[in-house]
Amino acid sequence: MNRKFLFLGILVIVSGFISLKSGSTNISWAQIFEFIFHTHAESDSAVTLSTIRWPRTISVFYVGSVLAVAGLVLQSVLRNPLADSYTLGLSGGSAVGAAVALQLALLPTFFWIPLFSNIGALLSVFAVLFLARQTLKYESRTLILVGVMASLFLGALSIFFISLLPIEKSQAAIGWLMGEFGSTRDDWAPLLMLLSAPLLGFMFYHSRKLDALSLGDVKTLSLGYSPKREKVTFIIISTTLTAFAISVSGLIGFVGLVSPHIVRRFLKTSINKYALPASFLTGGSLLLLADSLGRVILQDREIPAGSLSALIGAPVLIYMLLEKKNAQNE
Amino acid sequence: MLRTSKLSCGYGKIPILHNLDLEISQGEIFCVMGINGSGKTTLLKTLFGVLPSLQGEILLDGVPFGNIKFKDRGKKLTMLEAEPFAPFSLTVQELFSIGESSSRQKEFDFAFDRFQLQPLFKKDLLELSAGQAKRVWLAHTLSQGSALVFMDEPFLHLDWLQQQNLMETFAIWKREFSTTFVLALHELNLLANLADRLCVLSGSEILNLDLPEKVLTSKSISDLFQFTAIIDKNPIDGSKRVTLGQKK
Repeated sequence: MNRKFLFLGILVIVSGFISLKSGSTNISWAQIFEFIFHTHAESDSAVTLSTIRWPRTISVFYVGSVLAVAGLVLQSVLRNPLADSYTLGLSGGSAVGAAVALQLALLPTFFWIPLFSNIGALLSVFAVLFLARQTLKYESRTLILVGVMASLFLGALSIFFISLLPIEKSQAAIGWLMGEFGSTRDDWAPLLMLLSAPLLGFMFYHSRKLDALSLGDVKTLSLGYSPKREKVTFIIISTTLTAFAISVSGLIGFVGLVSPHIVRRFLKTSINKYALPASFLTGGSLLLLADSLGRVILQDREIPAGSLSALIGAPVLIYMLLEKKNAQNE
Repeated sequence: MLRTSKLSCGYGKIPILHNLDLEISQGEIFCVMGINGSGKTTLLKTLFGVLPSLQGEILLDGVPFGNIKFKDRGKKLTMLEAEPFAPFSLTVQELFSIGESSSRQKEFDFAFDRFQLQPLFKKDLLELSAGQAKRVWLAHTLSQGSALVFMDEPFLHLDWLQQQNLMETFAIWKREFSTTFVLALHELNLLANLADRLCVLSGSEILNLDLPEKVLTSKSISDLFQFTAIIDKNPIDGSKRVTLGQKK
């Protein structure tokens, strides 16, 4: 297990360096090392690195890691391997919230957009779970159907709100919907990281409860926890984390869905004491790599990270839906 | 140990069972039977507390459920569903590590032995057969050392040998740890030989609640299933034997 975490640690560092290296301005590895170890703080490349690349790398890692942790938590709580911020309609709700905040032109944006997107996400996730509760088990794939429909609906709703904005603003908002980095919102990441740290800490500390929840209500109660209280707590926390991430990057799908699966296969365990930190590292690295790829594929422009993550993630989701192993859950 | 007064249970607003007055005492094996859909699982889940009661009260050692901390409840009560499953890869060993804090050494050793977990311990639950997985879950539940154990169809998926093994295991737990069991099951032969008291659910209420020899008579079984029934002794070991045949 130690070796596996060492590998993940190295993966994070490597993908961090790749992320610092990728971009339209050519910066050599030597200049990156100089920047990291503060030897030449005055050069042009150092300015680019400190004002553009570094904040971006940090914010990409933050978004990827938080989405992966939220995905893992939602999967454990709902006992559904297909659950994630996107498939539960939570990111759609978050987008609507942010679009409303933009529409109302509330200032300062770094306060109101995360707040509104949080409210939107919480409303939508509880709406989906409430609708599903009447007829479905949370374990079922039909829950995901309801969630994806909600995501599409809310996505359309946020486009509706955004199209009401003045042209120059709506252009930026549409970029946000596609999931992009490299905007001024990258600078929000450190603040949101600070807010997220205690939430992540709480989840790591209570990972045992999460293990119990993944065995179902009956076992959770047998092990001395209240299923309802624990579920609501974990859903609220993971929704809040997701909304923070989405307010920085816009809609990034599938990182939250795929990372926990990679982690479970890699670690060969789903005990959350290991799976949580591993998802954190894996999600961050994956998104760093996807974002770097988006910056280097085309010479004169960027492909939004949200688009690349969906291009890779959607086929993976379809593959998982078709996989027979979970047929018993229907 | 557990007492209910005017208990109604069900899902949403629709009660499946009405006005139940039950008293389950320590160390007894209390069995619930009834046709499919008669509310056995609903009753077990409500008594265990995972399903809120619609009306009435449940007292555990004289204290209403709502006044007991979840942590203390977890120490006293445990439940096993008919078909438990872990949604993600999990080895048997890891499953036991989840319950570790509430597991007791003596009970664990007994259960590990009785359900022959040694060859299964490193395997993934998803790789096991239904019967093997059931053995693991039974052992996991019994190793918690709870005073009151609810089990929904504990014999489901078990082969004949394992069924006999489980019968003996219940007796051992009752004797060694004075564990109280509330079990829902269908197999009439098992019910006749296992139950200290037997509760028959029908038409959203308790049709009959008494010692098994009083509840399981050829007349009552015939009335319940509309099939002719004979109750006699197994000629080999002298245990009670229920035989059904020919629709009335």
